[in-house]
Amino acid sequence: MEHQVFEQQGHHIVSLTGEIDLETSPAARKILLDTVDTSTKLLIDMASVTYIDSSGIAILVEAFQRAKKKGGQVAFISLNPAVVRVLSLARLDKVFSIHADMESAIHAQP
Amino acid sequence: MTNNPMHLGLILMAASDSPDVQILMHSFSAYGFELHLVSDGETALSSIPTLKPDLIFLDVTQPGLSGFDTCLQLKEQDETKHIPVIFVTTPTDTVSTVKGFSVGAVDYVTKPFQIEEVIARITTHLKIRNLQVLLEEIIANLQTEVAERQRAEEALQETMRMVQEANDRMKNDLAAAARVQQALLPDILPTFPGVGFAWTYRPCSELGGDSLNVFPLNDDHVGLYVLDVSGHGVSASLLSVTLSRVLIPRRDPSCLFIQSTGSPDTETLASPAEIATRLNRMFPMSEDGRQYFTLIYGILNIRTGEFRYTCAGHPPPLYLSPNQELRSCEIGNVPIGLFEDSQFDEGIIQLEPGGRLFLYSDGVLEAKNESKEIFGEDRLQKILEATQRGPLQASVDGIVKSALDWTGTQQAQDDLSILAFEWTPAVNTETPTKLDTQVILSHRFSARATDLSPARTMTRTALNNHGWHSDIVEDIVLAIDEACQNIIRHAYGGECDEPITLSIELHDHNLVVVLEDHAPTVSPDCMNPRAFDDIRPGGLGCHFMRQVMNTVSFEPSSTGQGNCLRMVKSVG
Repeated sequence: MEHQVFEQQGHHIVSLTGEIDLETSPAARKILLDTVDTSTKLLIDMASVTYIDSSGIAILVEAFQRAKKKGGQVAFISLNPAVVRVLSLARLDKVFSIHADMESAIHAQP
Repeated sequence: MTNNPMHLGLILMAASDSPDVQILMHSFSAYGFELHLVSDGETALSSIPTLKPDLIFLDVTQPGLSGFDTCLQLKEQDETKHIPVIFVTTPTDTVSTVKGFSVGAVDYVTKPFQIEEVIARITTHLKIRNLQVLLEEIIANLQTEVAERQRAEEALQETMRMVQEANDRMKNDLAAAARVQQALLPDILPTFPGVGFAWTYRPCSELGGDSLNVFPLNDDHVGLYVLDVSGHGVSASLLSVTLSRVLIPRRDPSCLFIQSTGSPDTETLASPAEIATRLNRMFPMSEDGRQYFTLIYGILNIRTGEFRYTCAGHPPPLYLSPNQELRSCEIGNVPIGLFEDSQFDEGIIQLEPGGRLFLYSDGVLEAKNESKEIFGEDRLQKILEATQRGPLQASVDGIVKSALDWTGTQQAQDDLSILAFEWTPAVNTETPTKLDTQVILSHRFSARATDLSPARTMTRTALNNHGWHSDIVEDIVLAIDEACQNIIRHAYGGECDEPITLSIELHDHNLVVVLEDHAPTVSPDCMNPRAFDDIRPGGLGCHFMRQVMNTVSFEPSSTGQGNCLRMVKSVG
């Protein structure tokens, strides 16, 4: 798994690539939580995430909950069908803020 | 001091000649001492190299260089500083007495001389001097001995360091060689429609002499072998590695497995007997008579289930029919390399659908317990029958475990190699058969997070090859992945090198996934689904498994130990 973190229009964007599984989720967790701690507007770009399992879902929930606690916002961008399937199995597709692209996500986070 | 018993010592005296001195000279002579009289200190100093006195008397009142200065010069020189000096003073001259001691004298005598007293003092100081000499010799000898020991110890340490270095180099070389050998074992067995393979390889030391492999020969035929080089260690391993390289099919005319006719269109496969004959020519036994090998090589026709093979000095294959009849398929040939003109017979085993064939090295049957009783065919048969309904890999693992349990150790006494396959031909719509089971994938891997991604890739590939929709494939991949995580985290209690065995079979229109481990038994209660926001490890994964699979259940392990999870997905 690889990642990039950058800022755009006041939003911190974490772009993840590859598989988030038992092996890679500890690294992904650190990246997300570190960014949540320094940002109030976080967008997680998952366009290049090809696989996610329960350990990956768990860190998304943790980042989401931590951001909420400090009054921040987290949204997800460009989920591919495999990731959407797992989010829906976890019934998180109705809980998370999910957007088709970065532009709509930025508009939705004023 | 001289060694003459009549001459107890030479005494040099610097003093003016006087009646006292004359009396002293006579008395000394009577007691066995020789007295050499000089008149002053300079003469005393210059005569010492020649006379080599054992003791010196210096008169504090002597003319010329004073007794004290003479004594100081004596004590400054290494050659003379050890010679005992006794001052001659007058009874009232306390100052000289004290000064005499301060410049290095060992004693003093007063005039007029009391002969017995002087003799007693001389005797005492000569004894002390002799003891000093003796002690110095002992110390010198000890120092020499200590130095020699130190040199010997340093030499020993240097030798030990060199041995350690050589040992480390050898260990590294052996580990590197073992890695080379491991790299030549099938990492992931190729998948063929209608046949599932399983294998295990346990070298008895870091380097083993066994080798095995499976490889496609053409669209319909698969080649497979197990070989066992005589002996163990480096030489056996080197030959084993060489054979592993030779026994890899290549697309060139020199390939061992192709019976070349000069035209690629008319190439035919070399028969097992021909392969054995070629190897026998290529690898004649070395002159020391220690390097030969046993081999079982066969060609499986994956469409017809015919297994044509030759067995050169190797244990015969065991065929387990679907109705649990076990048959040893013996054909007698000598090992490869023993005789230049050996002929090799062939055998044919016609597998029935669901039949399993086991090729193995002699380390399996000949594993001995403490009473030197061998594991034997009967015990092997019981394991094979008991595990027949489980995944093939579990059956192979069960054999190894039972053989090691039999020996009472987890280190194999001999290399243990087993290669097995189950023939489950695909249902042919044109010629319907009773067969309703098809092996999709049989894979074993370590309980490590890094092994999960390759396992997912293999599962995806195997399922995609059968044309199921990607949504179904991804659901099954997810369920298997979550189950493996639970095995790693909960059954094994963390990552380890213990195995996870995955088997996917198609039973009619149901994909049956079986995952087995060797961990302590886990309570099925942990499989209860939790609320979706319960993100404790395991809870969400179990939820996923139950969501995407039709059934998820714990079953008794086919090997009688560990856990067995069975998940079914309808693909009808």
